[in-house]
Amino acid sequence: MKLREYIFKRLILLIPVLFGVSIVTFILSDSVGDPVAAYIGTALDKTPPERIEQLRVQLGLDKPILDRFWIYLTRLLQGDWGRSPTLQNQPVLEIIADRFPASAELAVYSMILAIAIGVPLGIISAIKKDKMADQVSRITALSGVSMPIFWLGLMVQIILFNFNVFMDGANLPFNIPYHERLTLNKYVVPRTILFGNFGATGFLLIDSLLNFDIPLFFDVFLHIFAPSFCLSWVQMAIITRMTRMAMLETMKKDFILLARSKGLTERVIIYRHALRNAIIPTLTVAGLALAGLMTGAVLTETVFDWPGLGWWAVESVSVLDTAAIQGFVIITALIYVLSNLAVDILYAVVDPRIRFD
Amino acid sequence: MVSDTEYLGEEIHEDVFSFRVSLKARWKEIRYAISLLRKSPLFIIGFIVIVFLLALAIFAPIIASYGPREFDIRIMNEPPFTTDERTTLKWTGYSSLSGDFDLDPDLKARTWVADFTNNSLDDFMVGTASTDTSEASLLFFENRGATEEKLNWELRDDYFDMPIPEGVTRVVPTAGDLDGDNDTDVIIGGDDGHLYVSLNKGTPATPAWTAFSILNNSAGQMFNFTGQASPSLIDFDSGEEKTYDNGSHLLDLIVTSDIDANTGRYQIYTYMNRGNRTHYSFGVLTYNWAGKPVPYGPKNVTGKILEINPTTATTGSLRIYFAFINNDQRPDMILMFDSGKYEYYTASSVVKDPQFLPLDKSEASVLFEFPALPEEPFLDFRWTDFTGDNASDLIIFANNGSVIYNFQYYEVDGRFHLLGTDEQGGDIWSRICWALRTDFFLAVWIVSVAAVVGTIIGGLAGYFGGWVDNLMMRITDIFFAFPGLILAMSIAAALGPNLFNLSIAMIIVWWSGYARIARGQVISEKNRLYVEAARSIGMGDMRILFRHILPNSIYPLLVAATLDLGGVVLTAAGLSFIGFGAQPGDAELGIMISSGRQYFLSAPWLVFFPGIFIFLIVLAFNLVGDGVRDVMDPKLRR
Repeated sequence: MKLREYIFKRLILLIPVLFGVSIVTFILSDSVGDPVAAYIGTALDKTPPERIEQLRVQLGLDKPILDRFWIYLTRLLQGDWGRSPTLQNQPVLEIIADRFPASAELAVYSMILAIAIGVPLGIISAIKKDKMADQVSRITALSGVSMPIFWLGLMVQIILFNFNVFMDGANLPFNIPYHERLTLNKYVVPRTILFGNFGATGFLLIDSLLNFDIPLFFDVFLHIFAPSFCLSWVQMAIITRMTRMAMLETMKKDFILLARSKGLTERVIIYRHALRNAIIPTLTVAGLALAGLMTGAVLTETVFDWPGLGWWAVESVSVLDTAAIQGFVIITALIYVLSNLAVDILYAVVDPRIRFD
Repeated sequence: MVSDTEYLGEEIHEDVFSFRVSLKARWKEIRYAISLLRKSPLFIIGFIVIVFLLALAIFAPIIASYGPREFDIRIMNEPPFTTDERTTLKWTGYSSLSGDFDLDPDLKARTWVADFTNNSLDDFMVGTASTDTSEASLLFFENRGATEEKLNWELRDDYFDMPIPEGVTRVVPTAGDLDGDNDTDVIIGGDDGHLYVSLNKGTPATPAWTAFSILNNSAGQMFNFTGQASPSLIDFDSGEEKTYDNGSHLLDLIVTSDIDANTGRYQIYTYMNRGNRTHYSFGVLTYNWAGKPVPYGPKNVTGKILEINPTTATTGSLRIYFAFINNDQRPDMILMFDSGKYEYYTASSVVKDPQFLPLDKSEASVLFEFPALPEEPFLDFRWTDFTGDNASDLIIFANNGSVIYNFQYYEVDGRFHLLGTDEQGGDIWSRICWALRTDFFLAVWIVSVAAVVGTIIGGLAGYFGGWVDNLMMRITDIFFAFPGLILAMSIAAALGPNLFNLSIAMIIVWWSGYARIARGQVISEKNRLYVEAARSIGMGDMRILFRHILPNSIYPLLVAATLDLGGVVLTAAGLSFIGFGAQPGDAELGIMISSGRQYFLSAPWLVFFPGIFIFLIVLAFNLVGDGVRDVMDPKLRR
């Protein structure tokens, strides 16, 4: 089977899954909220029943469920995802486009941190297997997995708050913030600058650098620090364990034995030969986790008031904002499925055996 | 099983048929695994922590000094290591006072309490009626105040010596300052239906009483009631905004009498004092039971005339007692019948125009810890603050001459807040103990239901293969396509946020993982020899699957379930934190953090301790799960 055929087959297989996703989303949104109530808002009690009936007809709620599903599906494919009352009735797609960069920036930044800490920790723990260092890194990793991230976020906020109070007399040029994405009242950033001549990525760190706005960069950097620290703590734990396992597997392979017999130093064996082979599964896991984080770290974003998809998800679910729930459930599922597919295809490229399974 | 073997007519090794034999073979492996686990320090630490937390959860009723829903806004946000300083009212329990009064067992006492001698100690005026001699007397007991509790009454014959009016065989006394000279005057109700008044023209210490004269109303008419008249002097309209001389702030008269033979109803008559400071003048009847409602008088909360419950209305006379029984500055009311039946009413309106709410006697003790009166005929009691500690006390005169008392006192709560209190005044340590119960139960319930459902579905898919397998695996694919937290959040919101729906939502999210594991296991097992043998003797598919294949593929599922427990606790707490699980008031660790969040900068312990406990549970589960996995997975055992 050629690679092209394999990819084609996988893409075909994607269709039933996506169809199922749309069914689940439809059932969810259909049972979550009353679209009429979401449409009218708080004036539901005062609205006469005739008007409600009229609205039901208008919104197509009087039709049988299969017809409604068909309408929903066609609208979805046409790009009409409805409007979200949670955020001033903006179109859902626009909100997603607006908020996705915030979540993605946080995800990327925290994943970089996690890899930077987790991979070395994993290597150490593999080299010194069952020694003190291994146990310490194991406990660190397990504590990361076991940490309730919303609690960690609140603890970090307490520490930062007290740090700011403590440093009050020192007249630092800045306070370490722990809310939002940037200090709006300090730097009122027009959209044209953010998405201006150079940067249109929505990633504030990159945009501000492209626009040579150093104070903005510094501000954004300070803001992203606390939430990304919390997120990376958890991810770091996973990456450490993964690296350790992969390293241990690789160190038992024959080519390492060969390298040893050639008389290479342990350092060269570990970093040149073993690590390069062991890093592949680690990066796979990291990539999948990154995809998960991109769709919004719900708890972290709630704790830090981060204006990303996760925060919007919580807000819209708690007010039963049907269109928004549909929107983000579909977008998260889509990203999930596509990133899984991307990883599989990448594997197939690397390892031709998979194609013939 | 044995008969099957015989049927085949040849010798076949037993473990081909029975999964139990196969399990026995695995028992050796399990014992070896346990011996390995006992050498792993991290597993042992995790195990000990779980046992400790489980013990906290199981023994929560003993360990937690506060109940799971015990809140008091008065102690909110107390820091750790403080003591509960709240005071509560307690009763001493009944003790005897008969020695002080030394009443004749034949006497029926009708009492009134007032400070006759103006020494800030409550004196007793006891009107008596003897059942055999038909001779009434009026006894005065002065409070000597010798004991610490100010309980020391002594009969003083010389203080009140006016003879009872002619023809009166039973007297009911009441007292109060009627003529504004700062001493106490006496009104008695006789069994002839008249009221008699005797004024103190001397000083409180050396009284000079006027002889009893019949009391008239402001129109000069004689008060005349059916049977025994029971008067009470009370400032009924005390809160009214009127000048002093206009009649407000004066003692008003409330009289109850025997049941009216014509109407079959009891009557309560209210006469407002429309005189001035030095001259009392009880108006014409301003209110009675059957009359129209007037501004003052016993009414129910809807402003209508208070109806006496017909089941308790029997015969004889009715007496009315006003007391501040629940310390809310409003007069509460007890209606007492001669049969010993009584009813509580608590005032629910403002002071000047009380409106009464009938109280269930069994509920009354819950509301303000109220000792039930004994239901004895001809009982009399006084409900006043005798001890001067701002708590109402109770003295009961039984119909056999014995006197008992039950005093209220303030007790400091004194319970210890090990970890401080939360924003609603709940003790954090106790709430954590209760919450551990919730979270453990939630985790075990979710994982076990999800594992059972997933195993059945995955097992069926793996065993039958073909389109069943395809369909079921596509369904699990769909569930894998959603991030777990977001799917669980949406389902929980759709079902309505509470703990049960949270568990349902999480089961829906979680089962697909087990289905995949079970399917893989069943596929690898279904071509084994024992399955073929079972099929060859004509065993049904379901029996083969559930009795033979699944029990043999249970270990990977158990490992997966152990590993999942921590994650389930974490997710459940997270969902409760963002408001899709436990509701305010539930003892659950996630909601504790979420509700403490608004105060967390000034009171970090609200958030810190529940989080530490979530962390401990999850860490312990993960340590145990890690250890179990390492042992069960031969690849890692090398």
